[in-house]
Amino acid sequence: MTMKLRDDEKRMLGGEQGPTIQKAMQYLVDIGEGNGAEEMVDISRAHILTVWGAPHWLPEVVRELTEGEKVRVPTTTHSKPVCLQHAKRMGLSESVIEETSKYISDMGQLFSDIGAIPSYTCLPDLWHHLKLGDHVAFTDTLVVPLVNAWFGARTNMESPLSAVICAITGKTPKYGMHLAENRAGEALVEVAPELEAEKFDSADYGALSYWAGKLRVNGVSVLPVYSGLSPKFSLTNAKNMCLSLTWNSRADMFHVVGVTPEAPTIEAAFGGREVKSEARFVFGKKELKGAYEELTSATEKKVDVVCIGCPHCTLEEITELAKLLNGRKVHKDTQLWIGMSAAAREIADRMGLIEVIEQAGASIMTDSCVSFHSIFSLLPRVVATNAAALYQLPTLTGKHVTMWYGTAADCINAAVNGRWEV
Amino acid sequence: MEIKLKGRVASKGKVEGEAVVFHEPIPMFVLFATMDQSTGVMNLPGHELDGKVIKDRVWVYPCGGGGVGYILYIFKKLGVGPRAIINMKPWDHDIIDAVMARLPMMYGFDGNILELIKSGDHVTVDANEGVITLSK
Repeated sequence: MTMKLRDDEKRMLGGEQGPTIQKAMQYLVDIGEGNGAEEMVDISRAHILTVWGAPHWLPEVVRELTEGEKVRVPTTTHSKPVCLQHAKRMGLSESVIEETSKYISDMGQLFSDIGAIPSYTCLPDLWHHLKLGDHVAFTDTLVVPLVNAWFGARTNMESPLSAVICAITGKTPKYGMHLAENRAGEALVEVAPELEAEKFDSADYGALSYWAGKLRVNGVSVLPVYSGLSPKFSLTNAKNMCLSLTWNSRADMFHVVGVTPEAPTIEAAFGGREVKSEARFVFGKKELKGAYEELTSATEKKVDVVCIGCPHCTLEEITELAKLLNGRKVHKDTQLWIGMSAAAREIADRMGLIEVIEQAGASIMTDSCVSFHSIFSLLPRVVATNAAALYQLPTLTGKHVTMWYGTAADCINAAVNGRWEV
Repeated sequence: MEIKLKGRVASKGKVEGEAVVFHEPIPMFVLFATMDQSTGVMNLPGHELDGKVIKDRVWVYPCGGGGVGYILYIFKKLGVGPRAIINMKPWDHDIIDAVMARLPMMYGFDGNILELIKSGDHVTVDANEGVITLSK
């Protein structure tokens, strides 16, 4: 199939706007044709990646792709791979710190050159003011489901490279999540009343989503629709359901009936299609317990690191952490890492929350990822977390890391006692 | 015996090679992180790919799975990636990265690739014409 391009797109492809745009447009056309897109769509915003775990080529490759160009839409940037302020205390060697510091500085220069917003967060909602139906080009398995599910804006799971070429052209091929018919639910997950979902902690939402990511209908993963969740379901809950879903699934979004904008009813969430019996699932006590067990890989009770803020904490979560930590001290043999954006930190600071958290001895890691696997590979540890997003760490680190999984309160208790006692 | 299957083209090109089949989607990121890059052998205890060579093979699997993208591009750059990719339902990144890495990729066939293809089978992937040919 050949895509139908508009005049401005033909001119870009023809080289009228220079070789970088021409090459970018050629990639977008090929990606579009590979995905069966009929046309391009103008995007209003983009989000690009900072973290990369393989050989540090991202700055080099992104520089090649953007040579001489600037982003044409507001473009935010993802978290940095490590918080240099705490790198030494984390146990990283001088050479790793030096290498990472150079990487961060190269990326910073690059982002400045292309005119990106140095937001450095996996929760860039503050900078985008997304609305229902906006077409955008975001990358990252945390951010993409949030944008689609919570805001109802439309983005495919752009790769770190395609997001960059979308940002400099202001275009993306119109397929997948950009089309209403692909946003319909593929499986109904009924959360059983016995679970009293209105009392769910973030860890419960993470476990639910992890479980849903492993569902298969006719052998293929599915876009889940959750019913039976609390009407108080918030952005904080939604963001804790993103990465744990997408690790095992090709779903780029989910719906929560009665909560998210495209799911006022079950019928609407399924685009009017009938929900077949093989696509109906119930999440009850047994399933919740099973998910917690699968997310737990540690046996050693002594905890080395407690990791909170993957994805970055919202102000709501920072407030809860300050309450949990107030007047307590983190155990001398345990570290407590808390990740958040600079913006969230600034406001939390004005509220006196940062002082409480730091007096307890926690390390607040601003602008950076608290769970970057390449860093963990260097630090064999027992980790406690409330982030289901971290569950691949044991595999990715060759079992250097084992994990306890529980609520924020369980995790803070572990940080204070130095042991997992749940 | 030869079997021909038609499918959709995600990324053009024509190659042939030995198939390696896996039945559960696995994040590309995990494939990358758990492969010995000098030998192409997987180190993933308990998984069907454990101990198998995946480098330079035609990868056959049901559907994509998440994690960080851009992996196929890195696989290609390091020369340790697949020769081609065929699956039932791709994950967005897989198509994007296959295109950007200029790696042949097809999906959505008129036959069940997971039943028809076994690891070790010889497969020709013609992602110019949209046809794969299995030689048993």
